[in-house]
Amino acid sequence: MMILAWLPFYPLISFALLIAFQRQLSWKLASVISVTTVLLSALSSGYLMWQLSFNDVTTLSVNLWQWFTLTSFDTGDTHQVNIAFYLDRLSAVMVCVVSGVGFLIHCFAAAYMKEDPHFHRFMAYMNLFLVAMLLLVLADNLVLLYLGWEGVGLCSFLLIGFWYKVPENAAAARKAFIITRIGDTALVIGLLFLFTSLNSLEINTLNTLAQGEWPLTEQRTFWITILLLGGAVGKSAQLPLQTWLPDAMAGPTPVSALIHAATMVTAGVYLIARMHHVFIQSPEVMTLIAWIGVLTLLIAGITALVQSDIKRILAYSTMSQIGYMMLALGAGAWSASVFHLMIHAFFKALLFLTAGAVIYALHHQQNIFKMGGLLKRLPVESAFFIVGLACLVALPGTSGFFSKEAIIGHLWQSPTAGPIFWWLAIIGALITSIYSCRLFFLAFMGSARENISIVKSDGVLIKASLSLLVILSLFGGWLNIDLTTVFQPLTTQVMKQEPSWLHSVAVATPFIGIAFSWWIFREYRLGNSTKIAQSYQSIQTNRVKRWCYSGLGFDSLYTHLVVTPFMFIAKVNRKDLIDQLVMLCAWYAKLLRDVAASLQNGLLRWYAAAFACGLMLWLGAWLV
Amino acid sequence: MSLNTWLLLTPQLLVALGVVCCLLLISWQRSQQIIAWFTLMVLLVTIVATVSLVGQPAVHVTELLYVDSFSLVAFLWVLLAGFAAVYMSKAYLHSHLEVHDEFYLLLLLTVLGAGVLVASDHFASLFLGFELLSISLVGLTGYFRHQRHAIEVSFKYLILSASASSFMLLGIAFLYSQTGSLSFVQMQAESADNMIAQIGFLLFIAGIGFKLSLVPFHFWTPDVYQGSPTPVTFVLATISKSAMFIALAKCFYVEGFQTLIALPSIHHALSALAIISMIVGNCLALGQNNIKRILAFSSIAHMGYLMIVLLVHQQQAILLARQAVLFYLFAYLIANIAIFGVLVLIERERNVGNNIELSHWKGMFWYSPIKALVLIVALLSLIGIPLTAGFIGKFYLIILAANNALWPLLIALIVGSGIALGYYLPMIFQLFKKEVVTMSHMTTWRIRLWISVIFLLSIGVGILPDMIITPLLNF
Repeated sequence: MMILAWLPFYPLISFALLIAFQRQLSWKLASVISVTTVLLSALSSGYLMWQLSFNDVTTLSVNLWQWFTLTSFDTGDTHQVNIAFYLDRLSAVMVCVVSGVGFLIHCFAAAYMKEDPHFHRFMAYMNLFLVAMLLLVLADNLVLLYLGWEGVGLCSFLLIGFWYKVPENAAAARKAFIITRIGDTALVIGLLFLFTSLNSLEINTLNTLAQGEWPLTEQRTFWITILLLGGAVGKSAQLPLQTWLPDAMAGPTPVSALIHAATMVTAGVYLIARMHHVFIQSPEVMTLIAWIGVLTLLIAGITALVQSDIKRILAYSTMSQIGYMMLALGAGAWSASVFHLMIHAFFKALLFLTAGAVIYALHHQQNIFKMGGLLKRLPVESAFFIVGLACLVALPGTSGFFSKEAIIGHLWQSPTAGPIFWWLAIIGALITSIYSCRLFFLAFMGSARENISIVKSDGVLIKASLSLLVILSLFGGWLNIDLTTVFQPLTTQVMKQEPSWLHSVAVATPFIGIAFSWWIFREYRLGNSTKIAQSYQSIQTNRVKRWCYSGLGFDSLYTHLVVTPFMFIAKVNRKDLIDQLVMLCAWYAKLLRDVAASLQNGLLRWYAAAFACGLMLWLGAWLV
Repeated sequence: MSLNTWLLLTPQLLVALGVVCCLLLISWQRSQQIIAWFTLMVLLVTIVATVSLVGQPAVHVTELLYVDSFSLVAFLWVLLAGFAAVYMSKAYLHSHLEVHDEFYLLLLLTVLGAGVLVASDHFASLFLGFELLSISLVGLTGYFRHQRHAIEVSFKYLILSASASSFMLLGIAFLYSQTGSLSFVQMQAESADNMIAQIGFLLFIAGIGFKLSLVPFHFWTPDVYQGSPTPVTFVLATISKSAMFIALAKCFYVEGFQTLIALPSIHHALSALAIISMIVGNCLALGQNNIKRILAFSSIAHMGYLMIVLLVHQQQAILLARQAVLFYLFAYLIANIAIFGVLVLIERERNVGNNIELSHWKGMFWYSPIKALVLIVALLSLIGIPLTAGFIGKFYLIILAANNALWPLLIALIVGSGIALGYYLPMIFQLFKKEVVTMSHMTTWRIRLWISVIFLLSIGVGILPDMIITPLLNF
């Protein structure tokens, strides 16, 4: 119990220490503090996971203290909101991923950010992020979950804008914060709605209710689930609110790896998986989730095809992989979704961190059109990157293969999805392999297009954490996570006839994609400089490519629909109408002052007369 | 009359005895120190006696007086104010050469007058207390006859106060002519319909309203506040007003008067008085430079706020209203003690006589932070910012107004408080203005003790009202 109670709070200690002592701590001490506290969390979560897997414990829960009480409007019942943690298989997996991957990324970050003058602040924010994320995952009720939810949002904002002196970074941080805020608002409305309907916000109570006799009308359930989905969509950068994620790459690379690939952006997936009993009650919303997932994965994949910045490509690929998870949730393939979440955390962290190492080695060059030939120049990093990409395109044998096949395999038969989703997912997988190959050919093959020296980094920490991630990405698929205690398969399964060629097609898709790109991107592969420069130019000149490059125009759409009108209203109302009214009161007060003060002239006879007149007036008014 | 009846009157009797002893003392030996300490002792003994009496069952002492816990606690506030006033005067009179024994005598007489007022249950005793208070205050306001304005101020107060009491007497006579009684309790509910009785009641209110400086009877206030010696201004602001208000409240809460007040026309007339006082008082204080004038105008507004408690009807609300009056007056008292105490100190340091301007406060936070802090807390309390006593006082008023559906009064209270920020906050800002003044300021242990007691009281009552003050108000 104590282990569980303490688990999320270790990094908080380090956060407090780092904030309190700032630069008085040497680099070594600061990184030891911040990394060990995360290690403590990781070890405790590993221990708890072991207990859950091999002992006869299915859930663990610990109640720390009562936070506050809520009173229901209608009945007047009080409901306690506790700071309480709840650990079952699902949250155990999430905790392990968050703290484990978090630990590796912390190791990497300690080495990677060594030279930064604000190293302490950086590590402190990273620690705070882990605290919030662990709270989110372990929360026993939705209010505590929301605390963690907002906490990770705050840390994401702080870390995207970590180099806030560059205006673009600050703008990106603002954008991420505001857009996720839209989702958060939907979430909080959903929570309040849920509370007023069911008088409880405890996850277990809600799930038990949902498993038994669901007391709410269909319409109410629809609205509640759609509001919760709104929160998830905002946090996980899915379709209507996806535009913040690519810009969020303005943050330091470990941040992109930890927050915007491995952990925080999957919070939405976690929320839906956590509340899946409630979501099952509303099949329309399940289908909607599936549509959101599949559209996002296609849009993100198409956008990734024309990007030039290595981190943006990875960001779009993150979006599309989360799209897969959403699709799986929509199809009711809960455990496949969570499994993919875990595997994705491994290989995407690996990809981002390797990309970070490459960028560092190339003097902060992020444009893949200016890289080239890295296979020879950075062989170790290239090998790591290949492993990551292999997982991403789900080559057989890698962990990505297991998780993605699990998702795709569920789609055809699912009552809330169906063959069309299966086909779209296959197309998505095809696109994934194409953009992965494009990235690889441009950056790693051919010859160096810019003659710059390689910065040698001798970080043992960097290499060590990357190697561990490589091992996890390669063999993570063999990790057996058994989530049957948490998720029951959809009961209303209609056994549709499944064609026999499905699996072969799914397995073959990545290879088709690779073969296709081998042929179509041969100029990139061979390193034809003029062709490459031409195609770099064409991103700006070719209208279709430019449209794809800008994320299918969502940004400009939102600018025209929301930002411009808002700015217009703000501009029109610069002289704040309400303010004018308020100032009118002040003006009247001054006027009254002047009138009344002119009566205070210090003359006794005048005062006596005024007394009498006042009395007469008062009595007169009373008589009338 | 049994012994118990006399026992409950002990505080007033003690003060009266103190007055007599004071006279004897003066004829025996004239000394600045002795008389001051003696007065302090009298007040201290009376305070102890009053505190020990709180909670005794209420008793009629003859037909004239009615002593219950309400009037005892109110008298306790008056005594505390008197104690503070003597303490301030000690510091203030120190700088003058004469022996000022009459000053202390008059002060004790004022306290005695207030004591009669808070216990009165009869128009005769009310008038007695009223006049005792007024006459001794006339003496006090003009006491330093060599100072500029002293005579002028004293005359203004004398003449206006006399005309006010004549109006009041006329009102009482009208009431008597219709009810045949001067006792509050014998006021008949039937006579409420009578036009003469109603006019009499309003004239009576006008007389008291003069003392409370409600608009439109407020004209004397700023001039007298400004021209009087600072401790006397303090007495005017606290003892005189609290006692008057308590007397009015005792009168209002009697059943006979309740039916009178419940009449819409009377109710409207009283509400109008309160609302105009809140708004005009606060507006007048805007843009003033003289601190005592600001306090004068703000006192108009505060009395206006307090009028809310007189306009409640239901029996339960009256119970709460009594607590509210006492609490509000206590908060007001503490804030005034703090401000006037510091004013006396500053006047002595800077040697500016009576005319203390806002500019004398400039940058005080930087060279004497403790005094500035006391002032800030007191001003915040007058504004009614949470964690000060004033907030809880105002909170009581708002609850009462809301529960009794006195919406116009509540709106005026809120608007008035908003306007009040327009002069209280600049006073606080003034304390923080950077100015390089190297003031020599003496802080003896006595001043420090005095200041810290005030500070702790005003914060303590705001944070822990239950512990400090509520036990006194549970009757």
